[in-house]
Amino acid sequence: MNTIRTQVEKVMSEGLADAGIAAPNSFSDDLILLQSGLDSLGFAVLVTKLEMELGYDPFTLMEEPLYPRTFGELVEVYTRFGPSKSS
Amino acid sequence: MGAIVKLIPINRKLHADLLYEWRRNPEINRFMYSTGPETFEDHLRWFDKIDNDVSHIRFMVEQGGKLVGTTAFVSIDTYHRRCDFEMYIGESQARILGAGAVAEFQMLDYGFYELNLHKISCEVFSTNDVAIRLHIRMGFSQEGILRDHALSNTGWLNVTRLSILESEWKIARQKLFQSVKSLIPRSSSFES
Repeated sequence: MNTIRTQVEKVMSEGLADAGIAAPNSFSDDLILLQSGLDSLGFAVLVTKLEMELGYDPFTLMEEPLYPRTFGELVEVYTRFGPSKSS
Repeated sequence: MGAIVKLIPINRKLHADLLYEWRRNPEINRFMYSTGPETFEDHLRWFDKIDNDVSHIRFMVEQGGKLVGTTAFVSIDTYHRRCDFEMYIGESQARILGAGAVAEFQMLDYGFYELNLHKISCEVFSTNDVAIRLHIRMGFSQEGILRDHALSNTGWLNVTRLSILESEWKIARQKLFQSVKSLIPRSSSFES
């Protein structure tokens, strides 16, 4: 079970609900984030909530700015920069 | 640095080339009244106009140390305490980390708490429903539709006019602050 993936899915579903958009039954890895229905505020909330829930912000840990394009890449960023991987 | 969004005063030497690229990019200017400057000299004349216009304040939007967009207050009227707000994110992927929303949050703080404005307005092509939805979620209200207000290469477009009052931002800000605070530099926070 991928806990990080589950949490990203949960927070993203909440963000879509806040924006009045129904979340898909499942998030596929190739879901294009810019076509997911989340707007800029939705993404800001997503990053902030994930930092609160996971306890780290991967975007502060990376040396070069990296922008995930798909849902799979977003999960990968959070997985790769998780505490056990970055220490 | 992470995903923190900063507003940086525009600087001709540092930002002219990038802004020229963005202003001429069809993916960006399809949502703007102008299709961008024909030449770099035209672009520099636009800079001259901004430099000499006290009613125009423009910033670059930086995220994680990278320039990703630009935002401005134009037509600032100090008697009626109002202005028009403009913004675009030139690096589309920066939207993934909420650059537009966080820059807008900081601009509204700057407009209401630094410039002491009473009302901030903006105009969005009515076809750009993502931008309209974002502004409404930031606390703007729709004032009306300007019919056939812009001519694009696909024909006439309606334009949606929105605005937010100082009192409305105070309420919206309270709801939004927790959502964006980790993406705002501490020094630019106007939390009251």
